Amino acid sequence: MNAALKKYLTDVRFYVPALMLLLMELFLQTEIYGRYMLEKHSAADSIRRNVRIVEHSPVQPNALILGTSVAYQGLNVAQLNAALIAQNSGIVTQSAACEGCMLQTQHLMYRLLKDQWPDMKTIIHVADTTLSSKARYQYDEANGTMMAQFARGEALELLRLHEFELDYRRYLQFYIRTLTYQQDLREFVLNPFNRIRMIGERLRTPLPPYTHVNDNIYSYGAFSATGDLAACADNSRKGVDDAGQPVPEKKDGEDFNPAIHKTDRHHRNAVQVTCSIALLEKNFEPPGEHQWRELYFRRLEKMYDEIYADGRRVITIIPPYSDLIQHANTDERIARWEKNIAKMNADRPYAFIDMRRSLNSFDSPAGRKYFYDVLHLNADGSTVWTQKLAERLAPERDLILKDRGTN
Amino acid sequence: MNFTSFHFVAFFFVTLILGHLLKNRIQRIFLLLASYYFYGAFEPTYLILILASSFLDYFSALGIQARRLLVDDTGQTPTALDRTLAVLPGRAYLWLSIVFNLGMLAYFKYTNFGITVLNDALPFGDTIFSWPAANILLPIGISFYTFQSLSYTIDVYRGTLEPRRDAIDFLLYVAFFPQLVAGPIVRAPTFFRDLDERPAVRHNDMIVGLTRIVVGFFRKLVLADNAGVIVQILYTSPDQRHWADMWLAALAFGFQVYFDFAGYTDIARGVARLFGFEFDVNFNYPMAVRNIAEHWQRWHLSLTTWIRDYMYIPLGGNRVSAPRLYFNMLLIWVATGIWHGPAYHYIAWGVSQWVMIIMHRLYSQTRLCLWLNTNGGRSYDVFARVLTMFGLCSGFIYFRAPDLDTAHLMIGRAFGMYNLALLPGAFWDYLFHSGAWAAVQLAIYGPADFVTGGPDFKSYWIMIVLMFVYEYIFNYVRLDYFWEERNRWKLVALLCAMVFMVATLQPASSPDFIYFQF
Repeated sequence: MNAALKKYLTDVRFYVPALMLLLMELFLQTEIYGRYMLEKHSAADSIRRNVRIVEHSPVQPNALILGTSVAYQGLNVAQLNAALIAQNSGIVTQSAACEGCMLQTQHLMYRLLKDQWPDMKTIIHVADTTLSSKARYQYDEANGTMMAQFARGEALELLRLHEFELDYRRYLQFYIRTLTYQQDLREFVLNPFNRIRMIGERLRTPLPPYTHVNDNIYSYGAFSATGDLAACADNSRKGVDDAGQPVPEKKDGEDFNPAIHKTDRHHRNAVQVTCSIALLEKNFEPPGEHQWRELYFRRLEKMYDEIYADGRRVITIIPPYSDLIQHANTDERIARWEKNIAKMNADRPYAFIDMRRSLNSFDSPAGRKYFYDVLHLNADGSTVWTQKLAERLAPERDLILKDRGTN
Repeated sequence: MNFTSFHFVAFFFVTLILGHLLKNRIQRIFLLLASYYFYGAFEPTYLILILASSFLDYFSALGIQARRLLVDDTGQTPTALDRTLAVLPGRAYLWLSIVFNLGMLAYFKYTNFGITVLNDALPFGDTIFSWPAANILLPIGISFYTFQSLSYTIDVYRGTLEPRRDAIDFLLYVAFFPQLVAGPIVRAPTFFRDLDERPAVRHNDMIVGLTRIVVGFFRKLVLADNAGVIVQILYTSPDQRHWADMWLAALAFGFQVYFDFAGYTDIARGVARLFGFEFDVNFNYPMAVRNIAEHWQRWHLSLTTWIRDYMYIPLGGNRVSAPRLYFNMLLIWVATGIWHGPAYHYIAWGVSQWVMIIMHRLYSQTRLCLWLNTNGGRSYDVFARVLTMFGLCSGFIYFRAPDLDTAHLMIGRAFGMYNLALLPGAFWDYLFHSGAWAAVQLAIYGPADFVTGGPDFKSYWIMIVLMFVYEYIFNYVRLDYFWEERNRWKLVALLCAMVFMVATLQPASSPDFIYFQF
């Protein structure tokens, strides 16, 4: 070996830092970190945890729910199944909806779980209509992290199918775990004790039968009784109501008192963030919206085609949205959705259930109490919507329980 | 092509390996082409500008030299090119270079600002009579390479530098990729010394170069970008913030801009070292210093020495009367502010530095200063450093704020005032237009129902303290210490810690280097 080269290779100043990075990467590749050490509610963990729960759950569904956080937080699957049993519908559901799941993640989730239950005949797709104009050819880091939790080659193939632009950085993010978990590692290093506590808690707690039960008690109405988006953003930032009076906030470590507390810091932050984003989007018309919508529906059609090709069928649900973002769910937009769904299912059985106004307060301000923030239902809202959905699904029993391959 | 992008990492390794396989002039041509590829990756059309500037200065310098050869009869035999170029006097070539370079800079960087100033000065407001905005995009790195190229022509004119006859060498001097887009502004004698005399890159060069690169990434991705997270939040919505948050905004941006720029310089110097070039120090730990004058003797040295040599000394330097000196210094600081950006708030930042330097200058001549320097001890030393830090960073609010009104609001709020931007107008009205005292009170105390949130972001205060400690420690224990052979394991520990933190502690998004916009 060349003496100069040998000198480089044997110098601890060169190889020890490189070796340290390599060992860290090898450890992350073992999946120990991915399985046991990921931050609770992180993008990667939300996928892994949901998959573990539905795979180990004793529930044997014949209808699988796919969707975003709107479905994840909005539906109480235990209550839904109880209501469907009470109506003798024969429908059993399980939810694989997850927080921040874009269409591609839902598609991958379907692929992963489709052979899990031989009796699974229908997909209940809770569509997020606000996302149709946000389709792009690039995806963000958090979604990359989510998709990297699935079989990596398959996930990349699906991204190409969904017309994403993939550069070498995207490939690296999928294959090099130091990059995949970069944000998660950051939280770990900044607060290791919290993570160690969480790991212990995770090991002690058995898996529940369903991915999520909504226990959020607060509602955005504490900050905006008038339903005004700008006031909501401003008031939640200041922590006051419409009259300018401070909203009683439960401090960390304090006992919850329903007679007093109307919010906590997590809730206030969620209201502030979702109101601010909704306000920005309301006042900003993105250029090329038509182009992005078309892209979104092409992608949706690819997922639906695959489901139908497996002999299954899809029921599309438009979930309830709060008053504050009715501008994003106008009759025109929903009619466009209905038309597109009808077009892509022209020669196959389907159902389209529009529930966007099932909980909001067009008729009664009382509806405002059901929403935790602009987008998501709280525990009360979840219970009410779940009951209403059961009432709408039961009549579709014949479609949902039709044997596979009889489309 | 950002230094922190994968594109650059791939480009760097290919260039490094091929660059070391090639020799002499072929290697220089390769480095020149690689540098143009690097620059063209930002926007290919910008290459026209850098080529125009480079060739103009190349021929200007040759023209100055040719005239000198023929007129002064130095004994050297002029070439045919010399005879052609000697038709114009040397001074004409100098002015050609100055007018072209500064004209190009003025057009691309200051046209929009000039229109703003014009519209502000004219009484047309937003009517059709106001001058429409030009919307000219600023070519990246133009402020740096025009100054670098210009200094070459001036040095040749002054006779302190021989012009370079090989065009490849000169083009490489202007375009060499490590320093092209955000400096340091390398002087021609330094660059050509290294170009002519550099030995083969040795083991020690690799250690020094790689250490600088790792430290640069650490300073940019871990320190600057994490400070940038809180900076983005606080400068976007300062209105309802607590006074402590305003100080946090000031300090966080001070550290962000420092670590961002110093990190870039570290990477640039490290990369250059791997090619056998040793650029001069650009940042000499300027944050944990005892006074503002010391800060400016350590901050962005390639620009401050450029301004000293080509502006301050020609204006008379220190050999003028005190009022003239202060006026010259004001000119220099306004120019420094404008160099950073074409906006009022950059000028205000320059003026704020001038005010602080004058205050320090006057204070340093007092007996109290002398006594404290002698008898103040450790506590005075720490107090002076912390006070300087707060003073410096309050000036940085002008630098970062989107406009003057926001900067004044934030500075006023830092001192417990409602809105400093309203105060001068209200006071003026009260004194000269029978305005109400209530308006002055409103500017100071705000409306009766005005409340701010509590001081948030406690963890970021810890981060600021850690950054200060980092700066303070490395001011004493320089990197040179780690490069000594007996400290090799200490360097291993330092590199491991920094590499680990770069891999794990960078925030979700890493913005471009701040000085790319200048």
